[in-house]
Order: sequence, then structure tokens, then C-alpha cells
Amino acid sequence: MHSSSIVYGGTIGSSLSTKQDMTGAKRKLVIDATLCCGCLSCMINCSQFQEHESSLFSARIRVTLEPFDGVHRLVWCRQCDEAECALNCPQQAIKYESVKGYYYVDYGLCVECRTCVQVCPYGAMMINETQNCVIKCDLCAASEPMCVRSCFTGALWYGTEDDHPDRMLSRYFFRERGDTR
Amino acid sequence: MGKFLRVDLGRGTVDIDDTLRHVDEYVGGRGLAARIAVDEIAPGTSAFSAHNPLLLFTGPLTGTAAPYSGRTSICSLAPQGYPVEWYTRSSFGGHWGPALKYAGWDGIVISGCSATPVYLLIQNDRVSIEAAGSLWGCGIFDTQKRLIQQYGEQLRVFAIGPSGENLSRIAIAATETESASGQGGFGAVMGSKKLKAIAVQGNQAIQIADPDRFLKICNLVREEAHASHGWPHPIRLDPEKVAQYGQRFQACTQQCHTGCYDARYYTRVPGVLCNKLLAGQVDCVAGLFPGLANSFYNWNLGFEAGFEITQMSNDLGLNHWEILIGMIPWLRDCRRAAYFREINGRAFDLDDPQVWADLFRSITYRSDELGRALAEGVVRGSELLGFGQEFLVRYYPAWGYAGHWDGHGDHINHIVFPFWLVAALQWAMDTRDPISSGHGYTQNIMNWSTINSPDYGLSWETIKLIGKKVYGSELAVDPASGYEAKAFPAVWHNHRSVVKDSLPVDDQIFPRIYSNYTSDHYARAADIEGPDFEFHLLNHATGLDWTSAEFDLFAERVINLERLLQIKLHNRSRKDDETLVPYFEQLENSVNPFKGQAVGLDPVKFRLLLDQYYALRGWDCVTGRPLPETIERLQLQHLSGANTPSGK
Repeated sequence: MHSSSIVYGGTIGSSLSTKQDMTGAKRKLVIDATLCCGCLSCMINCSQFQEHESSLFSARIRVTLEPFDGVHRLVWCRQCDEAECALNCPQQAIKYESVKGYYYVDYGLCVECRTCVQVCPYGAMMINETQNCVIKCDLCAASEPMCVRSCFTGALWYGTEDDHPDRMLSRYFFRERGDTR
Repeated sequence: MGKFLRVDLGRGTVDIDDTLRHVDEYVGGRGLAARIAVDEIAPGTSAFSAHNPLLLFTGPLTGTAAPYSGRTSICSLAPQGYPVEWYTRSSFGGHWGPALKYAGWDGIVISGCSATPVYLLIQNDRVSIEAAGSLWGCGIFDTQKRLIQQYGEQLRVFAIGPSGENLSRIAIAATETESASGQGGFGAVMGSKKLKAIAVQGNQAIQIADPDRFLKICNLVREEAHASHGWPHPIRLDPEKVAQYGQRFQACTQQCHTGCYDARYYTRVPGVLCNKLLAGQVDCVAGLFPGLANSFYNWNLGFEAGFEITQMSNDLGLNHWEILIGMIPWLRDCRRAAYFREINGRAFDLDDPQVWADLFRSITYRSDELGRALAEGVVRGSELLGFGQEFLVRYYPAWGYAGHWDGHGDHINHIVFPFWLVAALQWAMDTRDPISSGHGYTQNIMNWSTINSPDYGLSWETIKLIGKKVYGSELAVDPASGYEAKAFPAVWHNHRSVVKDSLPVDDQIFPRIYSNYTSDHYARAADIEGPDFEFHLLNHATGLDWTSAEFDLFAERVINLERLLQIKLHNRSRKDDETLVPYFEQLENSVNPFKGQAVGLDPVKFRLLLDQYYALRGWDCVTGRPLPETIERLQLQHLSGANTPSGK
């Protein structure tokens, strides 16, 4: 009986739930599309968590599959420092949660003019066609986002550009094995 | 969704039917298909008959956030089946099944044969039968690309290649580059119906009965189910192949979160036979195309040629398992016996990619005697060619399918006595290679133990404690147990096979038994035990309130219904079940570490094991038929078939 000597690296992301990491950098959704495996777990888990349904069309992150060419295409919200969606909203309905560092839609103010959809440079303001409303990523209110939690390859990361895990290693094996054989 | 499509390609009609009348007893996928097949397939029907329905069914978890759940079951009379075209099943991943659910449909029952090539187009409620035109003749990749170009990038396409069009009994139907219903020859069933493809697009949502609890159990299961293929190993990309060929992780199925140890996508591999860069996925047995040094499969095509051959086979629509585990080793034996000298004028040199390409084309287009014969599958092909039948027993246990995780014909998976006894029982009771949804016993034990995982494996004491929990006896997993306590795990895993094919969930993940995350290595998430994960997912997704026992009863009902269907259609009996004995009587294909030598099946002891299996099932030990009290207990009286032929 011996403790595992394998380095699985500890729990990813979930222990830091505030705006900044320990170096002071703002934590965001970071994406490396070259690691996306096309499982669409991020989308389904997003819609299930945010909209309480399983759908590819009410997710706040979008993956377009490229099954014959290679790297899939992802669309996601960067939580911009100078957010065009918020700056251009005539109702000031897109607000910033300053402690945790994300933008969200105040549906009490939103009139569905869709200006935000038009001005977002990343196409990351989505529309839930069933509910006929705009939706945007709020990092799951800055607990570890569901999309990140469901991504095994490390394509999605909640942190900074610099603290990405080993890109060659499936994320689920980073967990502490923490037991004996 | 609550409804499925009925498409009659002979009459050119599309109708809607109700899923809900059967789901409480048969759930979905394979279970639901069996229930419909019992009503709709008559004795004497052939696989290529217009009266043979092709049944495609998703399940209640397809398209949801349930981890490892994006699959679809496909069932029909199987052209590959031998000596009769058994009613059987296959399944496939990709993103097609979820798209069908998002379009609002649980499944499709396709009957009749079109006079001209067609494809089925499903865009939410709009369903139409379209002329295939110049798609007929295209490879599986081009068919998908052209339809996606026409209808948009959200379209998911399940298609056949020229092999299916030409009614090869080893023809696949597939989506994307490596997600196929491989075994069964169902590509040829589509070909016989002149059905080139089923293209689906949907943008609806799936409603979950208990969203909060469902998501919670999804998270628990996903984060526990960390190892695929029973490997407790880290999964890594190969830095050299990342740099040279653009290797990356690839999920072969929507919602599959765990990287398989061998599933990789390559974005740029230079062709050897063609002068262009190729892209596509390589998974499972396809990794064997390049050859494997110092192994039974010791040809050497090299990575690039092997990759090109893999993609060519996928595009033409040929069954990888049949080619690599059955056909090539059998051809090699036949060549050594000088039964033939050349293929298409070339020496049979497996290091030459052109030989492989020529062979594939001759099979696909039936362009010469060898190709015409092998298009029928090796077992039938050998009869047509009139040679090599003495070698079949080396590779083909039964039913027309090459060996798989059974310690004998399949030389890539290492499995030793006594564990292949359970595989032998699984093979005995099936109508096809049973391992596609039956890896759970042999693969788990071999890979979680120190036999296949010397650095990571669990101790036998740990495995035995877990075996007692799951199978009721340590002997079920004890390497020194011989023939004792092997019937129960075979019954148990046959049930889990139904579960996996009906919800559906992924075979390489479920059932969860062993774990690296618990102190006793028994898979567990919160207070839910690993083997119960599936029914908790089902309950919370659908609102069912089944117990674990009720869940098991559903699987038992499906196994028995399928057995009744085999009896009705093919007069299945114990005599059939025993046809695999000669295959397993051969010595296992490696030295047994517990015996110091290779051992084979003892037919007398195995027949006693069969008796135990039938007794656990409530089947007659002489005929192999479900007993009346079993049929009554499972409430199958009305389906047991008044016109069932007498027992053999």
C-alpha cells in the first residue's frame, strides 16, 4: 500500500471563484480550439444549467463542428474590459458584476432590441429562439462554469491565458488520485 | 419526444407513430426496436427483403446532458449474420442521434425498397424522401459533405458508401469520419432499400423531468467516469504527431467526455497513394491498419499509408473489424497454404498499401472473384471460393463475426482463462459479436488488474472484493476460480448490454465498476454506486421512479424478447448456442500467467456452465427456450408467438 506518485495536479479551477487569480490577473473563459474534441458537452451542459433543458440552441457558448477538416470553431464571450454589448445597450441592461468579473443581462431592463447581438465583435451575444430572448455567458455567475467543468481536453479553461494545464494530457487525469492500491 | 417516423420507401410515404406506448417496458434504442421487430418481422423474411424493416432508435438520454449518451441503436435482420441472417443490432455515435432528437423524433422505422436511389431529409417536422441523384456512387465522406453544403453546417448525415450500394454483407453505414454501425452489414440493408443517406437537422430542446437532480447526477457521473476502455491510465496526445500530423483529441460521440486511449483525429496527413493531405479520425481497431511490430498483426504500412487506408475503408464503407481481425489474418493463412498467389496481379504483400487499396476496391465493387466472394464476408466468402474453411475456426467464433475480447481469434486484446469463459457465454447467447456493448467484464478485469496494467493495476484482493459486491461472489473474478461462478456475470453483463444499447450510453464507460477515486476502488459518486449510475440518469431524465431491480427487469425482458424473436424467426436452440465450442476449444492465444501454459475450453465443463446460465435465465436447459413461467413473469405471453416452430 502506497500513496500514488502520479502527478494529477489537483482540482482545476474550482477552488478559485473570484475575479482574480492569485497573480492578480482577471479570470475568464479561456479557449484553445485546437484542443476541442467536438463532444459538445460544453453546449449541452450550459443549456441544461442555464435554461434547464438539453439543447444546442440555448447554449451561451457555440461550437461549430468541422468533422472533415480539422479544428472546430468556437464562439464565446470574452467578458471584455471594454464590452461593446454593455457600452451600446440603449437600456443599460447589460451589467457588470464587479466582484466576480462578468457581464450579465438584466432582463427587467432588456427590451430585446438586439443591439448587443449586432455590436459584439465575437458573435457571443446569443439568442434563445424558444424563449425569444438574448442570452449571454455569465461564467455561471463565476462558480466554475459548467462548460469548463464538462470539458475533458482542456480546450476550455477558467483562468488566465498563462495558467493552462498540460495541453497534451486529458484533463480528467489531472485529478488527485489520492488513494492507495 | 414521444414519436417516431415510419418511412415506407416502396410507397414513398412518411407517417408518425407513438413511442410512448412501449417506453415504460422497453425504454428506447435496442429495447424499443426489439418490441417493434417482434410485431413486424415475419419468419422467412430475408435481410434484403422489402419486408425487412430497418429500425433506428435513440433513447431517452440521447441528446441530453447525460454523459456518454449520444448514441443511436440500429437493428434489423443482419446480412452479416451466419448461418442465418439473424435479427440483431449495432449502434453508432457522432452527432446524428442527438440531431434526430432535436428534430423532435425518437427514431425511424424504414420499410420497403425504393425503385431509385433516395435519401431521407428530416428538418424538424419537415420530412421528405429526396432523389439521391449523383450522390449514388459517392463515398460516405463526399455524401456528407455535399448534403451539408446544400443544407447547412448543422446537418448531420448517416450515409452508406459504394460498399452498401453493392450489397456487401460487411458494409457499414456511418456519420462523420469514424462513427459507424460497423457490425451487421446494415449498410447493405440501406443499399437494398436504395437509401443512400438519412440527413437530419433539428433545433428543438429536450425537456428533462427533474432538471436540477439530473444535472447533479450528470456531474457526478461525468467526473467519476474518468477512464475509458477500462484503462486506469493517463490519456495523452503524442507531441510528435501533434506537430507533424495535427493530432488532437476527438470525441467519437456527442457528450463523450472522456478521451479514449486511442481515439485521435489527424488534421493533415500526407497521402501515400494520393497526392493530397488527408484528415480524419482513427479509433479502436483502425489503429491496427498501419500494422503493429512484434505482434500477430506485424505488417508494416507505416502511419501515413495506414491512415490513408483507414480513411479509404471508411469512405468506401467497409467493416474495419471484419477486415483486420478476420479477413486479413485469414487471407494470410490462405496465402501461406498457396490457395491463391496474387491479388489483382500483385503479390500479397501486406506492407504494400496498393494491395490493401486494390483489395478494398475489389470487395466494394465486386470486381473480381475474390472481391465478389469477400463482399459476402469471410465465412460465406470461403464457401464461395472453395478454400480456407479449415482456417475459419481460428478467427470466427460464431454468427459470421470475427473474435473479440475472447482470448482466441482477436490477438490485439489480451485476455486469459478463466475470464474468457464469460466472453464465451456472451458469444453463445448472442446473434453477433456481443462485445460491442459487452466489454464490461473482460476488458475491465484485464485492464484494471496488473495483467494488462502492471504499473497502475489493482490488486487481486481489491478486485475480488469488488467482484463480490457486483457479482455476489469473489469467484466471479478470481483468476484461480476456473469454471466456477461465471454464469452470473454473463447474465449480468448481458443485461448491461441491453441497458447500454437502450438508454443509450457508452459501452467503454458503463457499467462503472472500478475506480481510482475511491479508497476501496469501487466506483461510487456521492452515495450512488457505480453500477447504479445508468438508472439514476434514466429516472431523473424521464421521471420514472424505478428501483434498481425494476431497471434490471427491463433488461431481462428485452433479452427474453430477443430470444423469442430468434426462436420465431430462426428456430434458435441450445444446439445453436453450442456452435462456438470448437473455437474456444482451441488454446488461448497467449501463455496463461496463472497456468504457465495456454489452455482451451473444456466442453464438458462449459456445457455445465451453459446449464447454469439457462437456469439463471429461467430457460429450458435442453432447448434453450424461455420457460412458460419466465415468459409469464416478464409479461411476454402475448408476444411469445403462437406459431413458434417446435424446438430442435
